[in-house]
Amino acid sequence: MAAQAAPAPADDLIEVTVDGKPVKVPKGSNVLQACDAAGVDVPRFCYHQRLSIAGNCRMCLVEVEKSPKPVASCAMPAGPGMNIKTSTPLVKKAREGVMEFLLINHPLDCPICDQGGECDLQDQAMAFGSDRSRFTEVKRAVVDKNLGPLVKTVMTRCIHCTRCVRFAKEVAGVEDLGMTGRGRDSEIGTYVERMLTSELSANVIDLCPVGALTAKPSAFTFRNWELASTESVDVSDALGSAIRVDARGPEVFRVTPRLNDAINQEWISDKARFQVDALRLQRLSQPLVRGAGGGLEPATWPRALAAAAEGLARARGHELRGVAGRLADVESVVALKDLLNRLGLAGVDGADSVLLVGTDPRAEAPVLNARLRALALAGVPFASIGAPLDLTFPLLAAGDVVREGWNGFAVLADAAGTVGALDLGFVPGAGARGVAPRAVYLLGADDYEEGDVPADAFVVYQGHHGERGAARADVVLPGAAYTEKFGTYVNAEGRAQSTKAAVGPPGAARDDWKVLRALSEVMGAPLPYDTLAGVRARLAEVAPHLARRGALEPPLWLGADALGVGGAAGKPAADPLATRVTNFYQTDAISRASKTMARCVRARQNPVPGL
Amino acid sequence: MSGVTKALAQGLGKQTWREAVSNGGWKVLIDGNLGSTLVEHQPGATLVGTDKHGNRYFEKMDTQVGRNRWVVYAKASDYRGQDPANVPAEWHGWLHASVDVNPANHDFTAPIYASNIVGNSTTTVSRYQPKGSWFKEHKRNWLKYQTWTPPKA
Amino acid sequence: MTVQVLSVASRAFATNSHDIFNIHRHEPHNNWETEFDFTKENMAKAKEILSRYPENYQASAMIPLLDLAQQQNSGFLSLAAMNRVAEVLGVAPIRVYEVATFYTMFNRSPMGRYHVMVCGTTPCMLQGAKGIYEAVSRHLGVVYGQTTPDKLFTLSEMECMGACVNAPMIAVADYSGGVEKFTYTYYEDLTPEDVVGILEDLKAGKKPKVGSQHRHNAEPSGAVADGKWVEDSPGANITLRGPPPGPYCRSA
Repeated sequence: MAAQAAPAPADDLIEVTVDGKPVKVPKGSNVLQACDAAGVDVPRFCYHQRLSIAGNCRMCLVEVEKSPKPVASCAMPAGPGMNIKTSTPLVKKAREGVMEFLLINHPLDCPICDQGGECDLQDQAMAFGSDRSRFTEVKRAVVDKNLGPLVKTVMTRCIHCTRCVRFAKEVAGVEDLGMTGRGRDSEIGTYVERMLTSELSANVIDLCPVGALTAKPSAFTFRNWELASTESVDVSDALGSAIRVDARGPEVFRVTPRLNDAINQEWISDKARFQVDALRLQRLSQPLVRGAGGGLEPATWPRALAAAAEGLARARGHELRGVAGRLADVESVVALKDLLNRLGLAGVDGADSVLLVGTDPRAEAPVLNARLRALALAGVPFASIGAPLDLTFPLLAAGDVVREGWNGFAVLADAAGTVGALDLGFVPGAGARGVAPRAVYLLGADDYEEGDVPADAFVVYQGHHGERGAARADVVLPGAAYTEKFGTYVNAEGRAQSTKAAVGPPGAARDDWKVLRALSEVMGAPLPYDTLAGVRARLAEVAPHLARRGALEPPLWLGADALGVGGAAGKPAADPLATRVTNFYQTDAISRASKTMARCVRARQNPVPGL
Repeated sequence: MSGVTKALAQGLGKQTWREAVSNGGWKVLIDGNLGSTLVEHQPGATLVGTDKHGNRYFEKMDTQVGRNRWVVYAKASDYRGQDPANVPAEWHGWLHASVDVNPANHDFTAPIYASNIVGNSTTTVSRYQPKGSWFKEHKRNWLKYQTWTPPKA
Repeated sequence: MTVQVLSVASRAFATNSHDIFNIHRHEPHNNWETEFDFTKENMAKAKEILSRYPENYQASAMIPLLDLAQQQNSGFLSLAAMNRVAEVLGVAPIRVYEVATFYTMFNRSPMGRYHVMVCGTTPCMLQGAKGIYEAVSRHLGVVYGQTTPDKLFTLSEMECMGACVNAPMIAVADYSGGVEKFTYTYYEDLTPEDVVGILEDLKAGKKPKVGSQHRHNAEPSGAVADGKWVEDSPGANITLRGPPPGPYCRSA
């Protein structure tokens, strides 16, 4: 990573000529990278910049002067003074030959293929494919594999680039996939039927250059050209992976990773990718007020706000409590904090060794785990304190890691909203301890402690999914999910990033800060901002670092007494240190509502049928 | 008309004639196809079998190829009864000479993916209705999300 | 009947592997419950094989170990056998499956006692391998990929085994005696009568003549032609059956 960031010194560069254009590339680059550096597009299937080089698709053939044959540019190191030609008749003919061989056994089922429209083979066949076939024999057919509830396979379409095999081995660290057989009978698969046991498994869908591996949950539901893309940030874990949200009309259909070298490279976890089906299920789309019969009944916004204001006004001082949930964005947290006050209330890659304390990065942030794994394989010693883990890479004893001058302390938060709320100082004030609250404001909080919400308290729940919190509430105010609002989230490293609205909130639901702003008006203590820019200006006042988007900030709350639990500090906990995330697939209101995630949980209980 | 007379004379037994009439045989006068089925073909044809819907299948191998196997629908008098979609898969194969196995005395195991043959339901109540059709139970529900239902108090 | 059709069809689509599928299907004799472990002697052998390779290249011992496991397991690699090899090597099982499915000499379905492999590569074909196959097939009543009902012979086709000078030839692997008595024998210079005799001898428990059936080694004393052994005329130390013809365009 460090090498990637710093430009290579001049003497580590070599000069090659690509199509008559001189270009300088670092030593050790291959010819394909040199062509990329020169801005020349070389077709490819098996080469991927984050995976090892296989050189088996032969699509990237180029002509190199003094070489008798076309060379596979991905597997050929660039040498100084090399003269590379990519647009000669020889190259064209060679690529056409390769394409013809690839198409021999590829079915002509583009009209019913989910990859259609974003298929490398389809695109490149437009450039190098023949318009008719010379093949008169029988096409081969391959048995489809069952890889679990996320990845759908149509193995006859496979062109054996082995990207998925290399991903499983090198990045995910779960060696499930392989290529069995030989020649035209070779097939990608697991040999014995079993599901992919990696939390990153669905990245093979993006890697697959053809339609052999596609998304099972969203099979046959959309064509990629129907979707409108929005660049956003994932909130399913505290890593804040860069994602692209693809929506058609009011529905989110797909989440794919975006390139962000500093955070997720180009991978996202299965949860980030496939929990989006829950954005259509169990939604809070209208305000609800607990009626005379004891049940929640639909209400208009004015009525609901009035009911909430009336209930909250009953609490005095510290009897009013706010709880921010796992998915609360910083804007709504600051609005809630301001409201409560008005009502009378007070980096990982630089590490030289890593100690994991009571955490399971594989469950809490699988993409981070893949990067830790890369570090571990590069020789950085890792150790873990807490419950025994299977992290797909070897761990040492803690004593071997903690040394003099050690720089590895980082706290991995397990929810997207946690760090932001802590950065804003959204922690109980000193006076609040020991006072039983009479009114509680749950801001998307479904994982609250039972003691925080006494049975006789008046509860307002504001959120986007109906669950434990909404069921307990006396007034439910519908808010927006992360794909429906412009919200700032601070990731575990302290990086403030913004989600962007890809679709609108359903029904009568509104942006969370707007709901709080409206409530403050009704309660007679109006907040001083009424635009998003206003909220963010206020945010910059409270926590200036949150206004600097994308920049890495040292977590303010670490080391300070901001956590405010000094009384308990220093006393070792009686329970063994363990991760709070026991079920990776279901951690928050969205993923718990997702049918796909439920299927994953079920499949995980029996990953190898019959064993 | 002479053909009919001849056929009647040649051996259209009483039984067959009664059957023909009960199936709407009088329509022979206005329906040439039915006439050719009942009067021209049936004499000398073998009744090969009957399927679960009551359709009867005939064979007369010395007639012209392509017209040597045929079906007489159970509800031939009803225009909706004359429905090729009523023919089960095994009989379809026999009719179209895909197989020579007589499904009547062959133990036919339906594949797991076979659907129940109910015939064409066009113009009946159970016909297919596209989403948004006026006759659909929850017509025109274009809501793309499902609202949470609070638990009962 | 179905098996026969499937098997014949598979010859048209598969490589020369004995197995039809390159994926595992649970069967009564080969599933998760099937057990396999190296015997004590074979484990010592496996350790010896492993010691031939450097510490960081232990996976290089995969092919010898799979061979060992196959010999111990009466000629085929069950799922358990492959898993055990993976365990011994410390690699993921899929890496072993990949190797075992790639090489046609690893069998993944049960074999007869003798694995009869008929060479089908060009030199043997030119010298009458087709007749050899037909004779074997007729004699045993099976086609490529099948095992006789008495579980004695499994018939396969194989690519060139390098004995082209004594073409046509067959190889027979004897899996009846485990690792110690395992033999892999070539029978060369075959006529259809020879090969039937060899099969009969094997069936009777006798040991047929190994190597060329009609000469000592590969000395130029004759060759198989049209399913018969043809001696060279004395003194003519050539393998040609007559003077070589000139190019057809020159012949008068």
